[in-house]
Amino acid sequence: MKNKKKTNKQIYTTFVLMIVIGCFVGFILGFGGAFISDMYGGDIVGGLHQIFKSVIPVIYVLLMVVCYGYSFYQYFKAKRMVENWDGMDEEMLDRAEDILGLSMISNNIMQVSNFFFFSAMTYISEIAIPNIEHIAKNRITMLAVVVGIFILNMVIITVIQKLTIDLTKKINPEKNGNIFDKDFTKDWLASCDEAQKLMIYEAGYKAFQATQMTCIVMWILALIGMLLFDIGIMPSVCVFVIWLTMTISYSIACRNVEKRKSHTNEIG
Amino acid sequence: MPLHNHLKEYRAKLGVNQQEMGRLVGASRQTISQIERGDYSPSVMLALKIAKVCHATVEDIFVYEEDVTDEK
Repeated sequence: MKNKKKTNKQIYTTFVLMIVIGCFVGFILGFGGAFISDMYGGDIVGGLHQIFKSVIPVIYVLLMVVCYGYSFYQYFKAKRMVENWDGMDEEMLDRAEDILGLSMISNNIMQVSNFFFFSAMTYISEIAIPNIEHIAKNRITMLAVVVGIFILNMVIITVIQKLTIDLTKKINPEKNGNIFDKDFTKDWLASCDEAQKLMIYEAGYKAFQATQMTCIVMWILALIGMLLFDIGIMPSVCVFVIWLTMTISYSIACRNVEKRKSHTNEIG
Repeated sequence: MPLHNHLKEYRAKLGVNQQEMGRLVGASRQTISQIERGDYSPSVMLALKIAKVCHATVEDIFVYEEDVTDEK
């Protein structure tokens, strides 16, 4: 009985906290919206565009510096540890792999962000030029710069991926796969043993759960945007496509694994 | 429920490092490391392979201990 009361207390506390946090976030968004509206003469959407235009290039540059800096720093740290390994201290190799993992995470964040910022920079390069007569010439220049930065980033990201994968293969010689091969993920997974596959599957499920929650939040934001800021139906369509793809892939994969297990049991 | 093991001791008797042990049993160095730390419980197949390589039984290497406090 004592345990049940404690559990209910935790539940009610969490519930109240969620309500309070929801109210606080709503207040911030409402206050922020009113503030931006006052600053830009009642045009919240236009105001957000102006803020977006100023902030995006700065964030892009900062992100590149931080992500690449961190990736290279961790990579070289791991490389030094592997080169100095005496062949006996196994914990050193575990630490090196852990550090290499951090380098990969930073690089992966930059990879995904690069796609977003390509879109964002293309968007602001269009709205940054008000004079319609100069749009054709300046827009091409702006877009060329944006495309150039995107390609340069993809090259750097690929270089970091190659370096980290090669070092991983040096630590774990049984690993197979070339990142330039279209079957890289398939080959890599095939060279993983039971424990590593389990790790990948567990991480995949965690990602699925996190994406599920994110889709719900994004759907709410897309709906609010559509109703209050006239952003159109496209954001809702994008959320729908991602959510549906994820749900169907997961369901079919579960079914296939279940069938495979049943088939194996029948043979056994 | 924890699955303790004496893999590190048996590996030391064999005089192999984790990478070599992994190669002998068809697993990665990472997995051997995780098993030794108690972070991963191997499958029956892998446990049998490890026992064979160490010239011991699975019960010699892996010890299953029930958590006594749970029963209380």
